[in-house]
Amino acid sequence: MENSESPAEVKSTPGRRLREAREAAGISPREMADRLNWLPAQFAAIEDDRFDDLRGAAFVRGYLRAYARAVELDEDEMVELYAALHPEQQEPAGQATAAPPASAISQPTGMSIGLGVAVAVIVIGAIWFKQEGTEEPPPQSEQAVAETATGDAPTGAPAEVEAEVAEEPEVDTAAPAEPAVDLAASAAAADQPVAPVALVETETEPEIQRAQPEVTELAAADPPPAEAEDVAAATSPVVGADGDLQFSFSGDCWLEVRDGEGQLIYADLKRAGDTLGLDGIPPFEILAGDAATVTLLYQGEPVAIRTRPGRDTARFTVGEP
Amino acid sequence: MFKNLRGLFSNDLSIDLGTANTLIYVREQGIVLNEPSVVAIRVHNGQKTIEAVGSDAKRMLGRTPGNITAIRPLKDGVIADFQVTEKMLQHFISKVHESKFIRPSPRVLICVPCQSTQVERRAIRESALSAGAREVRLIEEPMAAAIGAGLQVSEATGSMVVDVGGGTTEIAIISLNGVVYSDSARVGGDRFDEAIVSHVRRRYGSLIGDSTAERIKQEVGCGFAGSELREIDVRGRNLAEGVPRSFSLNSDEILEALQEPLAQIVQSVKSALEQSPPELAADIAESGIVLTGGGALLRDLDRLISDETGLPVIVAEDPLTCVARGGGLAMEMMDRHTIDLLSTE
Repeated sequence: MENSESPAEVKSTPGRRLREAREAAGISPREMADRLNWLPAQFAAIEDDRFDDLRGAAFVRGYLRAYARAVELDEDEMVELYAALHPEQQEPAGQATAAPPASAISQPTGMSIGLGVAVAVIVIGAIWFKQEGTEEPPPQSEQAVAETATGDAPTGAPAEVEAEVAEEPEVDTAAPAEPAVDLAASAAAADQPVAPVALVETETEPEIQRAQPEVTELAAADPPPAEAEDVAAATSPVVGADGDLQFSFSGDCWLEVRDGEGQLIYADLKRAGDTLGLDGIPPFEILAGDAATVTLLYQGEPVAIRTRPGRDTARFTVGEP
Repeated sequence: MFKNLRGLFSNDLSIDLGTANTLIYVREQGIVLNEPSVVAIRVHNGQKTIEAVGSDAKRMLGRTPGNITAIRPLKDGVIADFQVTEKMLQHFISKVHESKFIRPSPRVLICVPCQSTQVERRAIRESALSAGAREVRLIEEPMAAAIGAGLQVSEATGSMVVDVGGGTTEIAIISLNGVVYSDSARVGGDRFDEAIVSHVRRRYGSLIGDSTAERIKQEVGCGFAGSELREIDVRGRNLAEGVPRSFSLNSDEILEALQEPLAQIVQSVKSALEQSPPELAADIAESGIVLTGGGALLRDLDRLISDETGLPVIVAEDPLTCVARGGGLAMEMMDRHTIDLLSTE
């Protein structure tokens, strides 16, 4: 086919260039084919520019490079000549590998779709966050809990109770509302509790329990003031070592228990080794700050406490009908 | 669901997660990332933080103070440090995406050594998923290399690919979109570097680092005795005197140093040929063996293999990026024809 082309074009075919270089070096075709470990037919195909007889462009480029190197010609030039001769046999896609700057990838989708999706994501995200938020113990309720646990009891209790439980006023002064809130927050985060406050809390525990019969007696004997009723409601289910709910703790854990009427019947930080028994109206809604440390029996049956993945806290209900 | 939404802002990536280099190919964009698989980790108060990834981290190799360690999280083509690999992938994936606002969640195809175990494959898959990919596909490296080299893998003709990577050399005979025979030798560019380091220590009593060894390999390294003689001046620490000394090395002695790893590669190629079905062996004898991977850039490695096997050997165009490019093309083929090129987990 080269016969019809002009001499300049003839010279520019890779096969001819290679053949000329080989002949100039005085190497026979057979010798060159042996040196390259090629079959004679393959060798002839390259020299005659019959590239269609070979297995694809990838091989042709490889052969041209190997041959060019053997006769000390420029490899790239041969491949370029071949590319010029067969423009349809372009290099594989992505061959232009001059790596563009790192952030060179344009966004594939239209801007409008992207914006629409972004708005949807934000809306869904907001809903999701809201749901997430309700799972967390809200700070307001923590404060309320702290007040119930420490502040309300002594101030709201009748004079007799105060007289009976000598330490109660001390508790009042030693654990004012604010530190207790801190404690609640820190306990919820499973951090080191604030030592002095925690100490007071644990000390009060048996005292409240000891005061319990007195309080109920009082409630039964004569109609107590409204405030005292609240205290009774808040403290009466605490029954010490026995009750429907039996907690034992292997580590520090904040515990909140609400009964079936939604009343907060217990809220306190428990330490490792503590046990607690509670009675009340089922079902009980329980929040444990560090669920892994809590073992719970309900009416003698062990209760499995499940936490959400990646969280220590558990909120669950027991005693549901 | 969020991953799918984020996926609208992401591209399909083909990743060649190599021992030495990680390459990322994006459809219609070509190779968009080519960085060393190196991560520098700073340890502060017992906490590890990523100091640098890729080229920046590679410059730190062997030059780090006590609290920074530059490590290569992949070894022999598979994950050696799961968490660091995950961080590295995360870094690379976000680097190839323009938007910093939305975290990318691309579909990813990763090339794995053909002899990797299920555990190793799973580690790679999990690592990519943790790095943010929404879908991970795996393909065997030689298959990707063959596609990237431009071979007609779908034809009923045997093609033999030898992919000389950083940690492993993958050898496969491919026909009709499938791997007929594959083998993986745990020898590659890293072994060449090690051989050069130990040669310099033995011959010159001097210690050189991996980076220097790599430079020697690239500049004067060769695989065949008849090659043109080249020389290079290098500096290393003299072990006896304890001070830096300069000396010159030539390509002949480097060839001598590389004999052992080269012999291993040749042996693997020969045993692959021995075990190939006769029809495919005839095809290979006619068309020849195709070399890909960074190791194929070693001067005259093709001549060595050709000389040893008596077969034509060609080096693929741009051998370093063949696997990543092939992975990208394979992904397109799979999307178009639902061809099952996937490696089974």
